[in-house]
Amino acid sequence: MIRNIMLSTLLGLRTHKLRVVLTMVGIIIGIASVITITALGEGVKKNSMDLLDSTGVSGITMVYLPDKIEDMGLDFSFKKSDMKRLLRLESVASIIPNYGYFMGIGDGEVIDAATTYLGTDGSISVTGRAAGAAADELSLGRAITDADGESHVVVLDYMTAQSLAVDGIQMRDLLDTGISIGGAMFRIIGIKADPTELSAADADWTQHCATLPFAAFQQLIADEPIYSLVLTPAAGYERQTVIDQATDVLTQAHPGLAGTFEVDDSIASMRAEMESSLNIAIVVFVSITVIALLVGGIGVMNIMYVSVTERRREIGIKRAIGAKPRVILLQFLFEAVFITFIGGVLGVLFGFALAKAAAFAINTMVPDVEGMFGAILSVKMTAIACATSAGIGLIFGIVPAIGAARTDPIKAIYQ
Amino acid sequence: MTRAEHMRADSGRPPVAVGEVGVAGAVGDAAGTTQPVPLVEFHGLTKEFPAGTEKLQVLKGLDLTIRRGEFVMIMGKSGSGKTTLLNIIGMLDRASAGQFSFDGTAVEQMKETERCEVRNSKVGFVFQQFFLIDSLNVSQNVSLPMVFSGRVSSAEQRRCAQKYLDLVGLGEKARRRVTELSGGQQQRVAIARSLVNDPLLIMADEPTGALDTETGEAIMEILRRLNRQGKTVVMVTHDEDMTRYATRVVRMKDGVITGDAPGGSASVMSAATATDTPVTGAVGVGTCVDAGTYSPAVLSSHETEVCA
Repeated sequence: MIRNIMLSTLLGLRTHKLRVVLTMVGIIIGIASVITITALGEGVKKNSMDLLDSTGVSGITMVYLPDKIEDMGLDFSFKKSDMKRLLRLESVASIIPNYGYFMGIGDGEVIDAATTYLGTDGSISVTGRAAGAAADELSLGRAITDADGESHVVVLDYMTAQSLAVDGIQMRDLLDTGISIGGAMFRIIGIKADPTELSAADADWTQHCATLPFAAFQQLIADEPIYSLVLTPAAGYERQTVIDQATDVLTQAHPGLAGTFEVDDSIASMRAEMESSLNIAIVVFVSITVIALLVGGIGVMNIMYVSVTERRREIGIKRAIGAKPRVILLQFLFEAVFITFIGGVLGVLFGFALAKAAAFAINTMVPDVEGMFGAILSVKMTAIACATSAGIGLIFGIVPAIGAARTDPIKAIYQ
Repeated sequence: MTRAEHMRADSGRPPVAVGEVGVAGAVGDAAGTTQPVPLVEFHGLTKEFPAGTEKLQVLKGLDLTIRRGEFVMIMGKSGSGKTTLLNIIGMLDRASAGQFSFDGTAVEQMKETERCEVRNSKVGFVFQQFFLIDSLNVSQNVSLPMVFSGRVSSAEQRRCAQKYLDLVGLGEKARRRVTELSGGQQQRVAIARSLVNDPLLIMADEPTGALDTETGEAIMEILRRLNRQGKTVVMVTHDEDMTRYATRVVRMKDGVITGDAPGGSASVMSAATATDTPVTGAVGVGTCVDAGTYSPAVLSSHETEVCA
């Protein structure tokens, strides 16, 4: 019987298309507002977190802390052998050494190295090009290739090149000149592109560093002290397991040290705080847009009342020929839920399209955003939106539906 | 009474037609003759409506018995209480006082859902203004009582609707919108709708009131034929000319019955009972009553059969 009632309701809706569309508009606007804000919020959150994660904060940063405060900063350094021992642990997938207190940006090794160019001292961030790695975006010269082997050649980052090209020296003049990096001479063979002119995808961390051939970089860092190790847990291993095992390995490797190996989770907690702040912001914005949804719900109630009044005689006829009050209630509830559910689905699609368009417009038109805006629509979010809109139909449709079910057949027929 | 009890009552209901009133649908009396079984009985039936601080008594302690197979015409002027009485008999309204039983069951004790079930399965309504649903087509309008009974599949509903539309001569118009039909055609659709659940009683409230004389006559002819095949018909009218179709005429004035006499068809009733075969049967689960081989144009005296 339920199926028949549903069919009968749908047939009835067919003859009230304008009313159905008007009811849906309120819900579409409400759901679309919520979805737009949520999708944009989730997009910004994901992009922010990805950016933060690309700096390695999702890894476990192991540091050495001496027992006495006055020993802080004294000459403890992790060794390559520590890295080898830790890599033997099944729970550790990879390790990135941090040289100096420069917080390494990413999944490569970076050091700050002293430079001298034409008698002027300075400092630059240097990394090595791993074999097979993608080439950087260049503005001048050529990129480092596997064929460069141990050659002392360097591709400067755009900012460094800019700082060297002064006093009438053009950037292209830097090519094929020598620069001292970490006490060794390197020939400048290329200059990287300006990262501010690249898309977010291309402007990765390596664009901000000078690059050496991998072997040359290894020679450069051979004697560099390692102040922290960033461990990436292997799949299936708990973070705490990795910390406990790594601490044991390091403690055994360095007996007699008057200190302990600890996890520097200051950046991880910063990440958690940032994520929490973004979540709060999303909730606040969504709460505001829920008002639009509420207005849509009241619209549904209003139109359902109109519908019940308009179809009073129809209700009376149905009651006269044996429809139970429950059947009339179900019919109007189904009508409200159907309209709002379809409105919800359309609202999700419309809202997501709007969020995509807004993200594109902001990324294109607002300077310095650098692709930070995006729109993400999850299955969960879609399901919640559709269920919410159907729920609105149920909540705001129940009162008019009860009114319809209680209609006195005689009064309704002979109105 | 629960639905199950209704169904048991239905399945136990003897096949009754005017022709069998004296056999399966009858009880013997002291004189050895048989009387048709009472379908509607009420005693001291009163109906009051609030009128300001006062109460307006519209029906004033009526006593009446309507037996199976009768064509009862309730006559009276406007305000005599005839439509109120019809609504109470059809269980659309409740009496303020008095005893009322339908098909042997006390109606006052019935819950609203039980009254709905009885209205759906045992009573068919035909109104002056037809009261079809404009958003549904002709076939869907006829199917509605089966939809609410919840016992008949969609395919069976369509088949039965078509049969009853054929019966009233509108088989060709099953897929038309009701608004495309003439008044007489709409009333015939309403009659098909009233028959589709094979009711014991057809309630007609001024069924020709909105029709021209010729069309009205055709509608009355259909009702007369239905009555001759066993359907009990109770009709309200103020048109004296219609009494010729009735087997019994009940006159009302100011909420009381002022007359109760045989109608113009009273003699035909006994003649018909001798020739007609059973019409009504139980509406079983998943079935409807087949309209059989009725002549589409005018209901003739052919028999109906129960779909298996």
